[in-house]
Amino acid sequence: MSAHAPGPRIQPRRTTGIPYVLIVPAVIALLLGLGYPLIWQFITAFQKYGLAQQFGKPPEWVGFDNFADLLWNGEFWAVLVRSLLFCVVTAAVTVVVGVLMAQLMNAVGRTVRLILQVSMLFAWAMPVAAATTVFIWLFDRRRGVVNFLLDAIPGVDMNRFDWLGHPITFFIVASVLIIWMSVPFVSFAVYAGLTQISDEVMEAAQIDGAGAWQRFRRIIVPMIRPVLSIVLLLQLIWDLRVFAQITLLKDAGSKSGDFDLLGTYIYKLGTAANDYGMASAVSIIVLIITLALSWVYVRELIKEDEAQ
Amino acid sequence: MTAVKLGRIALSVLAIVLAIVWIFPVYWMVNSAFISTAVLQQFTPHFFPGQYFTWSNFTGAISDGSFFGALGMSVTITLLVVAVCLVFAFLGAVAISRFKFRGRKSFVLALLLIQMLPAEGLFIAQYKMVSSVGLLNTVVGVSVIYIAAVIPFTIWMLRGFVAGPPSSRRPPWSTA
Repeated sequence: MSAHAPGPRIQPRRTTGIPYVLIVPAVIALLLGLGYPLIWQFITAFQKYGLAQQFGKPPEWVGFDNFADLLWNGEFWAVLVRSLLFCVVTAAVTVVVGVLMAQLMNAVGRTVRLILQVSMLFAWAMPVAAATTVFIWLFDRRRGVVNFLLDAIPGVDMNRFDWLGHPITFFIVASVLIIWMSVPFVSFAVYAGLTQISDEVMEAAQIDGAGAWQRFRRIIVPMIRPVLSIVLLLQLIWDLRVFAQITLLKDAGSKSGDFDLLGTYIYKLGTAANDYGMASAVSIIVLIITLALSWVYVRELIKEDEAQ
Repeated sequence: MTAVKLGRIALSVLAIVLAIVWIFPVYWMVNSAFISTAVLQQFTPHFFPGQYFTWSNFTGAISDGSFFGALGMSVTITLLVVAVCLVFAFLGAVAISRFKFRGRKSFVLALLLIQMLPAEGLFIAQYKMVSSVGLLNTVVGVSVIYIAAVIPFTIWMLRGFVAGPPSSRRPPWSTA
């Protein structure tokens, strides 16, 4: 790389119309697909927009009424708390399992590592709809492999256990599905970070008498901290927006509101209750939570962009 | 020495077991594809197609009229979105990596924030918009939403490559 010096950094003219022309197509596409819906949603969140309005009655301005209604709505709070809990637990378990997997990849021989990586790539490549469908089969109460195998253990009676019928086990299945789908990304990212740690450092620590846990805690974790924090943040953001999985699992299980997370709750408000005003208000809240979460990540990326 | 070796073997076995666990759902999809529905409905799962092996699910899917329609729709939307997105995002990437301009920082910030917007925070509004212009169940309706969703990511990925070539190969428009 050092053979040829990098050319002088391009210093383009400051005042020119060209960059604006170049971003016009992208900006138009973004305004069309996201900008307009975003603005419509923001306006609708402050309106009464129910079934009557969909049949032509002009929407009424109600100020913060939709938000005030949510404040006193027990179901909304239940859904919000459930979603945050689900998101935090699933993201945390995903990252822990992902790091352990990466450590395992690092510890085993080449062939075994390749087998593990190929198997994870397959899991990663599976489309959400297909993966969720297969999980529904696996956890089926009558024909599912999971009940079949658990029931085969002496002393365990899981015959016909209805996983998707109870909120707790429903969310365990959803969580296992999402962890299964997300761990490959985490472990590949962390494994890439682990390979950056030089063997000499680890050997030196070992000679100095550092145990396996000390080496992990004092050397590996600090060195892969940037990767870890980004991966955890992305998992938190992604696990807050699990719509397809929950919808499909609900279709196979129960339609009850006890199984809703934020995504399906908005969908229900919008399609079943036809209350676009409330649905928009909840959407705005979700957007604010996501933006607050992603702000740390975005700030890092902006710094990276400015450093270029 | 033998303890270390034993440990390595144990880790390898663990890795293989985990590999099997991770690929099992994928395998189950493939396995089920070769077993007829009647057999799949039985209470005892079959871990291999074996004597129940059949192509009937595939011939059924192919002869079912809606399969090729759905596949065609998917392919059309994908090609359209990729083509439009590549052109638009390439131009955008050239703009942010090769030029300094007023508003560049806001544009980059917008790109990054948009990537974070969750679909469920917007789909009611997007549905309303697409339905109000009568584009529900059309290729164009879906594509407009998809293009907007993938452009920010694509610009962000392409900007590195566009910024990459050394200045000797710099495009003519960047020289004063």
